[in-house]
Amino acid sequence: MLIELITPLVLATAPTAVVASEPIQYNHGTQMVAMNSAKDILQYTGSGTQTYDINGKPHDSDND
Amino acid sequence: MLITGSQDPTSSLLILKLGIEKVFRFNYDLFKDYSLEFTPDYWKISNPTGHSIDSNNVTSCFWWKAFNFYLMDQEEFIVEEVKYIFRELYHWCRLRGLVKGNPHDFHNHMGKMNILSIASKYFKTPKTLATFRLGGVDKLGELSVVAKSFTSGLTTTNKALMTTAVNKATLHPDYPWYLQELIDSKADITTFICGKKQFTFSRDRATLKGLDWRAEQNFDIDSEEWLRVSMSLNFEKSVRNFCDDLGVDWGRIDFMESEGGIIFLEYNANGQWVFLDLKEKHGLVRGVAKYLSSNGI
Repeated sequence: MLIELITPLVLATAPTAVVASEPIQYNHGTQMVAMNSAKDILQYTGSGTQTYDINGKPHDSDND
Repeated sequence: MLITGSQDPTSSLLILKLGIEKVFRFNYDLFKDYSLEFTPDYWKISNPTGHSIDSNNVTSCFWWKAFNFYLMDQEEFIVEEVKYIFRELYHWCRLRGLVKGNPHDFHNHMGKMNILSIASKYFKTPKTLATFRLGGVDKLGELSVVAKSFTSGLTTTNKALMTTAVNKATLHPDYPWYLQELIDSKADITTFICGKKQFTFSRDRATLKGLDWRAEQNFDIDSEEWLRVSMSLNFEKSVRNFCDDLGVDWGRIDFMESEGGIIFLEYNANGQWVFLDLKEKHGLVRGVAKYLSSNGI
């Protein structure tokens, strides 16, 4: 009987990330993004190390 | 000097705690906005408002997730040149003993296997194997194992390998595998290290559908998935000794709690930590701000 072999690629799944449609405006005076426009923005980073909202809560792997 | 990206919310939280006048935020993804003068003997960076920092007044430097942001619409050559300069500025500070936290590429020089070797002196560690052509898999015997990722990288289809239970007999020999014994655990434990302080939290695994809590997070700020726990003096001493051996005073250690005790899984030199204390009940952001400003930032 042939056993179907698995690969790491087959095991990979989509991380729980939401891609932001556009970056939040950054303010050099306050040195942060405008807080009142940050509420629903989540940012995806390509290495999958983190996707997080304005509160710093990660949505996927936290390795750096 | 806080080397980061403009969209990073942790950096924003730290600036709120530290005060904007005490921090210079140098955003990699907005490099074009800054004026930089950098010579072997002197450097100065100014933002568009005139707020500046230079090699004479910098008191500390913290790298936080800068390269996790993209330079949009830039030639690869330009991206690499800019990265080089950011790294050089960071290392300028490191050579003068001014850096806090860990370098962004810490794990390029100290990866999971070597860290497990160090951790085994202070904690129980799981049987672990990295293999090509399934070398060493036979020594795992009847042990149930999970497949993990070293890099947490993404495939070309933007998927990630989360911790997954696998049947050793079905592993394709043409691929690299990172295998670890499957631990039957009732709770994940994570310890955030900030200077001399340790903040340990626990997360119940009872409601997990899979094996990896990172794949099943509740993003509701009120959910409080992680609860602060007190650990024994022996545990805290082991954490301290492990960190001293590794030469770090920052990062996050992941453990699992099982019937056999607490088992070390991995150390993340630049792991996220704000998610443990979103409501700031436990003083993590305040603690980090204090740590960063112990020589100023």
